Amino acid sequence: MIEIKDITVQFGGVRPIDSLSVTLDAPIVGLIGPNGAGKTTLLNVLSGFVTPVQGSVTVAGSELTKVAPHSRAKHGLRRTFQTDQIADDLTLWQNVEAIADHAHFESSAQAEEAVAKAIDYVGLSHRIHRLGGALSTAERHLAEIAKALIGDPSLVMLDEPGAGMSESESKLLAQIIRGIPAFCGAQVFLIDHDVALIDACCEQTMVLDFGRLLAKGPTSEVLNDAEVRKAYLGEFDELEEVA
Amino acid sequence: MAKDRQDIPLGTPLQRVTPLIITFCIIAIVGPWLLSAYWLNTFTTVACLTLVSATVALLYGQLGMVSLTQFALAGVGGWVCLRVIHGWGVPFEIGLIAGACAAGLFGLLVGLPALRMRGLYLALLTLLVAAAFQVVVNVIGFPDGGEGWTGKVVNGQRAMIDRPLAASSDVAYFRYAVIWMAAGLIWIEWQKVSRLGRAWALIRKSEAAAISVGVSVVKYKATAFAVSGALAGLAGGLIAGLNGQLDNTGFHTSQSILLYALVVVGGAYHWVGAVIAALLIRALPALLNDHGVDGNLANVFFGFALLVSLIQGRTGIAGKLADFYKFVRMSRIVEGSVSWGLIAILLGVIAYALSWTSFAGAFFISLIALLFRMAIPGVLWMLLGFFGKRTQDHAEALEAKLSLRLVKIMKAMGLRPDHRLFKRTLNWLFIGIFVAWVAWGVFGLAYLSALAIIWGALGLKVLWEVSLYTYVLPWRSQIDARYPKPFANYR
Repeated sequence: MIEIKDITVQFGGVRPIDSLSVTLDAPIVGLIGPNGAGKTTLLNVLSGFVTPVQGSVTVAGSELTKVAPHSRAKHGLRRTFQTDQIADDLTLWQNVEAIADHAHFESSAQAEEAVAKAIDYVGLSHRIHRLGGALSTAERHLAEIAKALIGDPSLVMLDEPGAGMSESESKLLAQIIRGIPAFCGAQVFLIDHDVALIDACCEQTMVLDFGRLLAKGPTSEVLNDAEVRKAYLGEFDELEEVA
Repeated sequence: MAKDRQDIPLGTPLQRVTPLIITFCIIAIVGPWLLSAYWLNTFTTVACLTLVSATVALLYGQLGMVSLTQFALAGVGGWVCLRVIHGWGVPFEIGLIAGACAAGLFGLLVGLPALRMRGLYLALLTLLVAAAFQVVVNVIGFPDGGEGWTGKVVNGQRAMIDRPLAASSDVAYFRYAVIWMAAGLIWIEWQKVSRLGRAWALIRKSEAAAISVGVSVVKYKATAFAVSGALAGLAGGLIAGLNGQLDNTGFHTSQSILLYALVVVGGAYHWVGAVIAALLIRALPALLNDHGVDGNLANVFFGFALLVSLIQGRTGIAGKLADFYKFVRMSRIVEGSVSWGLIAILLGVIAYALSWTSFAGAFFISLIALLFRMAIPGVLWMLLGFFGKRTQDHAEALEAKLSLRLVKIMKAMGLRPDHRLFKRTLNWLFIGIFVAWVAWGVFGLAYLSALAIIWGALGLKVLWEVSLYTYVLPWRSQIDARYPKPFANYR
């Protein structure tokens, strides 16, 4: 469960997030919003790269506001980035193993088992010896997800995992994301512009607009909300259009 | 869509370092047999500088950090090594290790402010440290058995340190230095595929991503700085042991910059790159000096080589060689090595028996001729490319026209036509005239003897192909089946 209490982020005169309070308790939560709504800033607050000027963040019962970014992994936080972070000159296996190195397994055999399981879960077992640079875009995104599943995470944050994927790849991705809570017991926090992906994965969705919470609730309700459609999907009422 | 090829595992760390161990064993054993006293000393220095280059490559290739202090750190290691040995009369190894520890500590101190810097600012900082070291060393000098903490003799005979007992002769010291250097390179290579190397890979990909998975960026960067400092210091101690003393002029700041540039030329991502960088910085000027040409001329070549490797991508000569190794079938490499080796040995023996030149000289010239036979057409093609695609097309059309005319004549004469005869003849003419001219000018070999060796080598290769191919081909397909190449691993 993610509890965000009265978070404000200030960059100079800009407030990307303005006194935001929200509790996200569904196993898979979606976050959508137009460009500049503060989606990635919120993710950066959760992973500790941005320090809010006020407010607190609690994930799975641990208060994280004061925890340093590199220590948050110990609290079970994992995230992916908009641009994938697969090292070109390591194999897929080594890329995932690099995460396992820092996940405090009891033995190297256990670490290897976890790596194998995560790679198998995203369906890339046939690619473990391939160099990162030779993987396709979709494979790299899936490998990123495999990296985020190592070491019993409590919260997996995915920043636009579907970017650049074809429709069939996107369907596979949705299936993989839906299975994450059952696979490792983690809550999933999914940011994407692809509303179809959000709709297919998330029980609960929140919408940000100019740093404020516009809506939160069951995904289908949120996506049909008139305010949301206006802000995010660009729908106008007829009157406005005429004017 | 192309069919997926099976990826081949990268192998365990031990398998990864095996080629390195074999190469350096061969060099350590065979080197002294082939080299004269002058060259043995040069190559001992090359071995030490290989270790310094490897530390530059480690920081640049693994973490993307430009360090221009590594040469100065070698100086620190050498200074401490000399000081400890002169001061307490300890065995050479203790001095060596003390020097390495001191340089490692110093490297760590330089690295600490650098942990938050990258790119140009880090390069500037490390350059200033190198310059500061040069100033300090100019004032206090390297220890040579004198009084005081600087250990500098004011007026009198400079004392030398003794080499280790087991390696007092030049030959033994060469092997001794190669062993230390190989140990350093093996350690680095081992780490690249282990936990440390994986963490470095995460950091160089993105520090933010590394932090988000719990990697302590500070710890791993500091480790890299300390280790590369220590290995550079070790190399400095080895240079001190080679000459018994060190000279103020030996650790000039410009050498640090040159070393970095040559590591880029040699290739920072493969251990062979460090060897190439060291050969370029020390062996190439020595080769020129040995033949009465000013060694500083090498700097002109270095500038050109740097330009080419920056245009060609960042992997350097070693990266190109690695690409070559990846793309060329194993059987061709084996067959090439065997045939080239046999031809070169045969011509070496003949030239020695006819007392034209030394065995090594003829051996070397044959290999160059065989290499040029493969390389020259491609190089010419690239040079023509500088004048534009149209020039390339014109040259190709002209060559095709002349070749076709030649084929017609051959057919009319009742011969089996060869479409590539014209190109090959040009190639042979050029190689013969050019390589023989260099051999005549640089090695002092009679022009006609050189020409005989070169064309002999090319002729023997053709003879090999014509006479042995039916026997060699099945053998080659067996090798390729046994050692397939992991094509899918290519970048």
